[in-house]
Amino acid sequence: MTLLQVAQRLKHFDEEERTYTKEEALKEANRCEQCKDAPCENGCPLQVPIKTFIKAVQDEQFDRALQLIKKQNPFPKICGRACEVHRDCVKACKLKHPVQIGKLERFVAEHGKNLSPEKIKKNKKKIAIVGAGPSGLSCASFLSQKGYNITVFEALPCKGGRLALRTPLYKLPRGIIDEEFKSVQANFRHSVAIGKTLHIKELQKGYDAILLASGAGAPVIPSIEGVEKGNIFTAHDLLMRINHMNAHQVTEHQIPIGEKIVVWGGSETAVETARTLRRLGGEVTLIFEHDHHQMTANPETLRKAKEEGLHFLLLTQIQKIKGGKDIESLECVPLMSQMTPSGEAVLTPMEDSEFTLLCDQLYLATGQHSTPLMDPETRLRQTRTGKILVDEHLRTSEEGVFAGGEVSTGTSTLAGAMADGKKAAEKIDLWMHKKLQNSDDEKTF
Amino acid sequence: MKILKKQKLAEDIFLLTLQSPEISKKAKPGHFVLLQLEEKSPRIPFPIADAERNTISIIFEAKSKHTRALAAARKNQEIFYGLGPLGNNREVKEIGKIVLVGEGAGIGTLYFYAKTLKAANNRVISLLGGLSKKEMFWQDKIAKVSDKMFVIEPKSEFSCPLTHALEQILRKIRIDEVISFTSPQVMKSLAHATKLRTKNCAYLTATMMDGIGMCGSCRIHINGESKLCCVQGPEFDAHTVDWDNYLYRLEEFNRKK
Repeated sequence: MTLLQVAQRLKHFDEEERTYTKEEALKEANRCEQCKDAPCENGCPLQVPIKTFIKAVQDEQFDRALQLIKKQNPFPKICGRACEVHRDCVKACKLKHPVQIGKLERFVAEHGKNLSPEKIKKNKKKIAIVGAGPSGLSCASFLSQKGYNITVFEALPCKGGRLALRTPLYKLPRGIIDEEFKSVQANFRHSVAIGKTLHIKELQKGYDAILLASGAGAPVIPSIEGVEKGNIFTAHDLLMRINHMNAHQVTEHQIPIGEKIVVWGGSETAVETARTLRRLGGEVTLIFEHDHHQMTANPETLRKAKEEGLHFLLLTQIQKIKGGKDIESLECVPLMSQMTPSGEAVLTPMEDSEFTLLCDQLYLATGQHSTPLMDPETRLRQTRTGKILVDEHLRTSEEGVFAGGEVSTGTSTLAGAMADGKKAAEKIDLWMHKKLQNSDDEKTF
Repeated sequence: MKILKKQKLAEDIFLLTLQSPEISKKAKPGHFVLLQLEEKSPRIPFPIADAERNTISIIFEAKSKHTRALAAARKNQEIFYGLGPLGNNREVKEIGKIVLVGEGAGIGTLYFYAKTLKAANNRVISLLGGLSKKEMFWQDKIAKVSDKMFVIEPKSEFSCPLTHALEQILRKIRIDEVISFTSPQVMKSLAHATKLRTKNCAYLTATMMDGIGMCGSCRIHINGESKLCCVQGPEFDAHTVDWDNYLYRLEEFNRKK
């Protein structure tokens, strides 16, 4: 077992799972039947050549396996631990007990040696990347390999964007993020909020192209009676305290933990919030309006959460938050799925089944919008919720300004955001060589 | 971000001048900065009290453990992390007659407003309180940028001397807007006094982790809706703020510890 026992896991925030040993990795890789059609590769947004890298592991060519992965994915140590779409590649595996692709990727990332970096012919073109999250840094990595001079602007003092915010330390130690991102050849400017400290217009003057990759970090606060009461927090509030400020060690940053805690949501963020709270000693129930098929959390994370004693109330709607100045209970109703005449499944409350759930602390993991741009001068076209509109080439309504990752796609997976950053690198490179459609062409958003 | 100057202005009230060329270029009344003194310190928002070439100034009350640590910081010390200018600045334009009400460290923020509003042809009346006349700071600076200035002694027969003073002004002059930089208790009382009489804008502050709308910690209940102080504030219509809720949430952490 590479995973720690539940009792040990709940004691601390140290990494919960260790990397395969060489013997374990070989045993796992050798289970791969090297299918002709490699269905596992279809689910990977980064197009990692899964079949080929596993073959290299089978042949004990770990350095080659790493090179194969790195061509498509610059941060395999991170993805090997935190990729939520491993369920897609693993699910597509034809074996009854699928090959653990993520764990093999992690092994390769730690046992394979990087080739000594090729001498890159630098050009004088300057690219500004806004946001040091997975999409921004993936773009920075690919563009720097093409010789561009990259500057990454980040508001927070740390790298990682929403990945570092939402992924707990026990799953992805911060040292791993720092180590992987250190390989990105770029100048980093922290403490700069684009739109506030510097405006996009100013960047346009100093850089040949800009990528906005500021992510989707703004929590959605549901409009529900009682949401203003005390002891209601966003999941980001808790996770930022733990993952950015080490509140599990610096107790004065910690939110005092309740006795009957509810986490509201079905995403990876929701489940990781609940697991974090379990490590802080809370009794936690997760409430979600749909069933487990609609939960976007990784099934592996869900399995661990169940082992750790998280209670689930699925197909349940919170209708009202009750209490005095602080939250005391939730008024809930079970939902059932009904088919409309048009054949669509809709959820309707079950009649006369309302119930009250005692709750002294509520964490909202009810989705997030794009991090607000806050730039008073920008005329970038955005949706009502702040998503930046882009065309098929990731161009925004402003010439030379591209947008990628969650700021334009909405909530995304880690691999999805990185794949968007990679695409942005390709598009920016084409645009710099004037190979992208003429900028006078009408962009369709 | 380096501390260039530190000055004690009154009992527990300090001024820090920070080297920050980029923030100072953009800083306008309304903006605040988020500071984290050391890696393990919390991030705290501070309203910008002035911005000059390459520097910004903040004025704060050193009452909590972490603001006391900031007050104990040395000249030339580097602050671990600082971000700004955050929040929405006030659109400075000609409004007419404006009363600025400031108290304690809020007098610093009042100065920045008075300076720019006066320059935009407004008639500025400054109402300063919370400190005894002996302890009051920046009186001369504020007098220079105000058409009238009143210093209200904290000890008085009135439950809220600043509200009483404002009511007296409102009785005599038609005021176009009141802007307050006081404690929330005083803001609540001022809002009661101005309701249905004149516009009242409260400069609010709240606990925040990032200042860019990610943590949701600075939620304020406005007209039945949750608003984020960091990206939708810090100015709010004082007549729409749920003051009891705001006061309760401000104390949330202290109360639970």
